[in-house]
Amino acid sequence: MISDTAIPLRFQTAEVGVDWLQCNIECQEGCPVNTNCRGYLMLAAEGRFEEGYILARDPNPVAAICGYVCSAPCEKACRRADIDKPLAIRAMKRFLVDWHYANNMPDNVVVQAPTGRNVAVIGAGPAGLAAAKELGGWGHEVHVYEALPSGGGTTLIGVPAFRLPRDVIELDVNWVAKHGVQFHYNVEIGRDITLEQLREKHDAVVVAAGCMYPVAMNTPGEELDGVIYGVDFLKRANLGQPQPVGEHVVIIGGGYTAMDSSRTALRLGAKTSTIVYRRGPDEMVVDEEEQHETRFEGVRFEYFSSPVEVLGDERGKVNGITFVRTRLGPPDQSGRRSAETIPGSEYTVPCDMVIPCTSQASDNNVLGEFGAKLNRHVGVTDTRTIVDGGSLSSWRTAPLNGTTPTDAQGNSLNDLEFEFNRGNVTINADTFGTNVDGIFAVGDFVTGPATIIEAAGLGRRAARSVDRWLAGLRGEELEELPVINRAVITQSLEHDMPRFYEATERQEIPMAPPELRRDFTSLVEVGYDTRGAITEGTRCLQCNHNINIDGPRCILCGLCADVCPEGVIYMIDKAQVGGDDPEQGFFQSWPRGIAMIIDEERCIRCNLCVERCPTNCITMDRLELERFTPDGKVLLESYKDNVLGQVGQQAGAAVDR
Amino acid sequence: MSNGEGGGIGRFIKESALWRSLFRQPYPNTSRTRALAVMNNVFLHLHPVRVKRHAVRYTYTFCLGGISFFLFLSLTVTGVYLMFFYVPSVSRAYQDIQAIEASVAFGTLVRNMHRWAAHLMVLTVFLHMIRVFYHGPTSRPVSSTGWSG
Repeated sequence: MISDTAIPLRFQTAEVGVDWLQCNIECQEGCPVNTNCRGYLMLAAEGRFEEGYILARDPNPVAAICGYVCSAPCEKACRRADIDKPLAIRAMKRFLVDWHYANNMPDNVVVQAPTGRNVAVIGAGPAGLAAAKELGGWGHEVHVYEALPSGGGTTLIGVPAFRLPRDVIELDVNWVAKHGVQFHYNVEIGRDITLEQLREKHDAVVVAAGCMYPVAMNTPGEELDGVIYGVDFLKRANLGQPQPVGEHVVIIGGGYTAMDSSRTALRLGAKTSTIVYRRGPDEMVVDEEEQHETRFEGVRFEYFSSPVEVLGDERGKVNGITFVRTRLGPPDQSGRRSAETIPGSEYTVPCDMVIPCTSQASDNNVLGEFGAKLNRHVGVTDTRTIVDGGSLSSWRTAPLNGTTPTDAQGNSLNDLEFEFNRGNVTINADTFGTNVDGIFAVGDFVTGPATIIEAAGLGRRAARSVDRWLAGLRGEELEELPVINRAVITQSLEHDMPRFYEATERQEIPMAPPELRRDFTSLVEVGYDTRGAITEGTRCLQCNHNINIDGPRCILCGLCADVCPEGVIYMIDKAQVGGDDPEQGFFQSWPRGIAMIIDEERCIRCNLCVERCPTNCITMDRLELERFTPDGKVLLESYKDNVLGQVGQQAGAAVDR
Repeated sequence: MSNGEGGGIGRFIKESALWRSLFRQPYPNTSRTRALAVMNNVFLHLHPVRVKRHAVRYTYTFCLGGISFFLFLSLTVTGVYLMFFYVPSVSRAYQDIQAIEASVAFGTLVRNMHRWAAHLMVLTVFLHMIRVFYHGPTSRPVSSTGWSG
């Protein structure tokens, strides 16, 4: 006989509530703006592309941009990855956005009556656009100030046109403008107008100025002609300014900027392009697909090498760069393994252009003289005066640090002082407010380089806080966001899935052949056609459905555990289950007993357990949730696909029963 | 194609009402459709859809119970046949054995089958009981299986 005390506790019970059911929809939970991805995948599977677009667009002001270049945290969270491969959620969004605009569908813009308040947003990047769209939609008068000649921020100057067409950025900017947002381009805060002047003109200011300024590599020889920082290189190329390249280009770094710079250099005429990274391919920030595309275009990769010195000839031009080999050391604070140099392993690579893509910093000049002193970057590029380059990097202008405008008497027009932490302004994590009342900061400007969708998510949250601040809330009232859940849970004994949904493999995203990629503006990713999109949509496992066992009616026959094709349901000894809910006490008082375990991670919603159960105690529960604040601002929704699709739980035309 | 889709005439046949009424589920090539095939088949649905891998391993039982049962069945069949020709009395037994060996149809074969099955069954039942004893299924909830053999 096996003694009960020898069995270790393996499971904790949890209350099956709305929060638990919602957190099972992991794509939506993974998305910083809580897009109802599952909803638009189901709608796309039904061929309802316009309805799918509405779901994709509503929470995400940069939906079109995200369709092309999002880092797709939803795909990393997708539960289908446990079965075979995750759904191509980003490519599906791109298809829906393309469909909407290709068919000239009208945009569904909801704008509330004017509140009489006005807000300034600095920067028209993802964070600024997100904040502006939300605030504009809630009836505030929003003015966006942007230093560049058009909107998009990092997506405009940091992402090359062969990955993200410029008119796609324009679609998102226009969508935001439809919410009554006014854009003022070519206005540089701290130079044309100061933050303090803006604060006097507007009720609140949101600083979302991004961080597209290079941090020095701290390597001897970086002042030589031919060294140009990746962000500057991309900025110039993306703004259409003349940018000469060398024949043999070396790119240092392992991020998205490095990938984009290497591919841009090839398109601008470089013969070879080599990415050198101090760690291995698995430690790269960039995902595998992006690395594959970069390698596919002919970029060479050199791992485990760290730069020592940039070498130049007697005219001051770069003619080589020395590296030292590295190996992986113990993990550092960020959890990544550090790179340790191996002494004596130096080697030199001949080249005539070096593009360091190592780090980026915010330009605190926006915040005034006080902030400019704390800048970590090497200097701000002047985007308005185009300097024709006789040499490769002669155009870099002197740092603009500390050039705050003065009035006629010579007094500085900006005396605001902010709190800083390691070169970035400090904010309250809940309210996004800086230590100056009425000035909020958000996005990469605060966090350092992050992803587009993370910045948009923060912008959206900041807008909520600004709105509540404008309504007069301060202190703890402002920090705590009250939330109301409106949920409907429908129990059903019927549930149908699309045909072949579990056998269909992830659809390949069509890509342009390499011979069509030599142009700077030719798109690399072709994208799904209608059949591909519908097929990919049917692969969704519909995680808003969960099986539920009604305990009092269960007779522990084990048929559900027997029939489940993925081994989701199984029975264990009750001694392995613990928990502190009231029912546990009664359960644990029994001398022996069986617990049914539902391992939701692998459920494919095939409904076999529901059909097999002799007492009908298993049901398929569908969650419909809307989460909003008391003043009616929606935080997330996971029900609209049921409303717009009008077919309840069934997706797809043909059902294989 | 792997998911059962064909083009042209194949597709026409497979989507017809007759075909779909005969074959209620797709070709069983995924775990879900395999489960469906067992569940919806009039013969197969008596069996469990899935068994543990170790439970179907040969070395778990060495088929000793099944072999014993098979030997018992063959003993019964051959014994009934032999009963027609064999009278277990002191005066007739020897002649009957002689007759079975010499003149009964398949007599030699049947008698040898009966004899070897009897010897082997002693051996397999002995080994089977050792196996059962060491696996110890005499405690609940499988004690009834243990006592019944």
